[in-house]
Amino acid sequence: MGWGALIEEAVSAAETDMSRVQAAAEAINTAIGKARPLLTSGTWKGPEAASWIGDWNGFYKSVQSLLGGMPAAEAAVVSKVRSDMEAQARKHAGQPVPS
Amino acid sequence: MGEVGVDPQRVAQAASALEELRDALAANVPTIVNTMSSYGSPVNTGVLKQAQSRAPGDASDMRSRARLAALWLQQNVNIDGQGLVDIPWDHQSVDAADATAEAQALADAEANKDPKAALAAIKAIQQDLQDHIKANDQAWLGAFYNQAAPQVANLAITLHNLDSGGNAVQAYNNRFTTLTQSDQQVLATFGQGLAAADKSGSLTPDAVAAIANAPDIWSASMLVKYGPPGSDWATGEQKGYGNPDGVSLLALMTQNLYQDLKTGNIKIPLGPGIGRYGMEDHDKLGNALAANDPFSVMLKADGENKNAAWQVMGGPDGGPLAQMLLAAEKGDLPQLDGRFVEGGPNDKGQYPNFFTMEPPGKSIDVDSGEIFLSTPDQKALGNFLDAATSAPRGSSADAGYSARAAVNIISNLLPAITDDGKIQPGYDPAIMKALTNTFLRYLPDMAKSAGNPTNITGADPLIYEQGHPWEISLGQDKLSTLVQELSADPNNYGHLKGIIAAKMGTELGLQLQGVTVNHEDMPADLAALYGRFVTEGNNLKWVNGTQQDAENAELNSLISFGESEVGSIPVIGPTASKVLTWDQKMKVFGVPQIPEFSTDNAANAIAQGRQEFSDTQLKTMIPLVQGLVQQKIIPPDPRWYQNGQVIPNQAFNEWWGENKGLPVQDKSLPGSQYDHLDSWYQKSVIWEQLQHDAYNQAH
Repeated sequence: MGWGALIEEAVSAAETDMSRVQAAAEAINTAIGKARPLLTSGTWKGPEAASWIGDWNGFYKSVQSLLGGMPAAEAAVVSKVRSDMEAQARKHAGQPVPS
Repeated sequence: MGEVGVDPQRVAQAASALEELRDALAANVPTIVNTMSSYGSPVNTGVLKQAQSRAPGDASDMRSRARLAALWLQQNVNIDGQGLVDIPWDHQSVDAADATAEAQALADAEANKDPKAALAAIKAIQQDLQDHIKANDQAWLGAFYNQAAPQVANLAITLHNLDSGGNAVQAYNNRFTTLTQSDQQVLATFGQGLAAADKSGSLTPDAVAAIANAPDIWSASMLVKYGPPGSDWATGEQKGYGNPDGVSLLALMTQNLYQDLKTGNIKIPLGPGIGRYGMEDHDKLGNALAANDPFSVMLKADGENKNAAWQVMGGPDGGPLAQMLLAAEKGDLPQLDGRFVEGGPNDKGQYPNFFTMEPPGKSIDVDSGEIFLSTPDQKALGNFLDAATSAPRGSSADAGYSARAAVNIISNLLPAITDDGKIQPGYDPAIMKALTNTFLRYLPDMAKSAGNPTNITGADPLIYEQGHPWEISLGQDKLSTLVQELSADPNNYGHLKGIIAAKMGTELGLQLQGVTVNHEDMPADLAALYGRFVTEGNNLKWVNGTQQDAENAELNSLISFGESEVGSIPVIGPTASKVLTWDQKMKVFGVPQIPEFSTDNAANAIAQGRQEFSDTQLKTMIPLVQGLVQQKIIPPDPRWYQNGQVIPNQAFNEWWGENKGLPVQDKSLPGSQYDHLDSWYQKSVIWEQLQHDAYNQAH
């Protein structure tokens, strides 16, 4: 196996891992999305409930914000794997590829 | 805290959605966090971990609100004009209100005439209960059981009565079924929750009484049968009316079970009651009833709990209960705990949907249906009796219970049984083990009873000892019965004799160092006990070859016996320090370590010993030398003293020949009185030849 194939193999593995991460993020997002419409004043009336809803919404907005940023983070991971591997290839040019 | 108006249906949907979110977070957060971290990604996943951490609480609180809203809607509580139900919002208030509502729901379900609706309601309560058990929500569990205790106690019989049995064919096939698989699962959950509330000390005396004094004690006992092991239940309760000593719920249930047995108040329901049982049903019927014997259930749990066992056997019913379980009542067959009698008190056996448990010794109505003798599970009984006498010795209330339990057990033993002129142990091996362990736990008391013959049997605190530790005394007939029962197995006989002889060696070593036991003549007492074994052993007619088994067991016991802690007794100093306190006496003479039997080492040692000495010599020399070595009167030689044990090999024989003239001082006597080692051996031989069994001499 040459350096080119090795780089592609590492990138492919990272892409697979990142797609698993993305699936996990989407599963969580979906569950939040299902809960949110039920946590409204249509379900209950009273200041304590309203305060609890405010807190819940605030918190899960930050969760969704993180999840929304995951594709970029995943792409950064794949990109870094590629650039790291390419740097290795340059550094060890002419040497046998590690098995 | 204020209340919130909720739409019961929507809040239930919200609870489901939050449960789904909780599960999604649990399943996916680790994937994201671990994977990103493994690539060194700088993304901060802390908020995801926070979400995973808070989600179970959110879901559980919302489920409680939904459950409470639904229950209040059913119970017409706090409903406003818009179809909303006003419920408290904060966790604590919701929990308390939910527990109350669930208790009410259980009462409603038990009163519901529609079996399907009642079962569905009970299952829904079970589900909520399961969630609170899983969350270890002690406040909720305590609140629920303190309000629902009477209904919880009644649950098994309710479930049985709700089971239709199905169509005619199914009903016939279910004729031995007391509780369906599903019923058993419900009872397992309710039993688990009850045990958790009990163990955490959350139950009020009223709740404890409601379970223990349940009108249907069989029903209450099914919570124990299908619930967790006895060790998961409390060992004591808050003191209260009807329980002034604060004994455990399990003990109270067992005591009330016995009381209800005496009044014929225990009823075992069976099948859907479609008709009479035929002769072909006899075996299955007997098995089904035995599986529902509440005594077997409670004895097993009490034994696992230990405290419950000694509270029962050392409590007010301990004596009569021991008589029933170990002997016989009013001339009835021995060891019965009752008879299962078909039909109710007035139906002359026409309605076979329950069997009344009638106490031993009570005559049975001739018009009754089938009658089955009931004997409790003997293994459970053995473990129960063993646990009953296992409280640590001393001055505590527990020690008092166990001492009284030991007296109650020993006082109600039957003598070993005779079969064609041969004597055999009269009890199951599990019970024999309990008797042997009880004997060993109370060995000094046994010796004292043998050495000071009396007809008084009892357990009392010793007033002349600090703290007034509990001690038992046995009348001579009781001691003889116990010793005979223990001696009926030749191995046990030899084993126990070996232990007593070893203790005599220890005693001699202490005596030569001038150490004595307060107010007691321990050498004479131990010799008397040894003598009692020989007396009872001589009365037994063992089958051929078993005499040799007894000899082997005694030598094995003597060789294996090592008392490593004996040397820590203070033996130097003024006279006062040479009197053993009660605690020191127990350390030296009480609860011996049971030696391992049939090891190759012990067998080899015996074989070597028999090439050098006779059995009589060995039985005296080994404990004598062991006692002298323990007290550092003679130095042990590694050629014949290994791992704290005397090995009577050729080297020992040579050592003995060279040292039998060794002068040994008796510091217990005034002045410096010496005697040769061989003289002490001769004295010990005479000592062991049982001139001390006053009981034997008098009978």
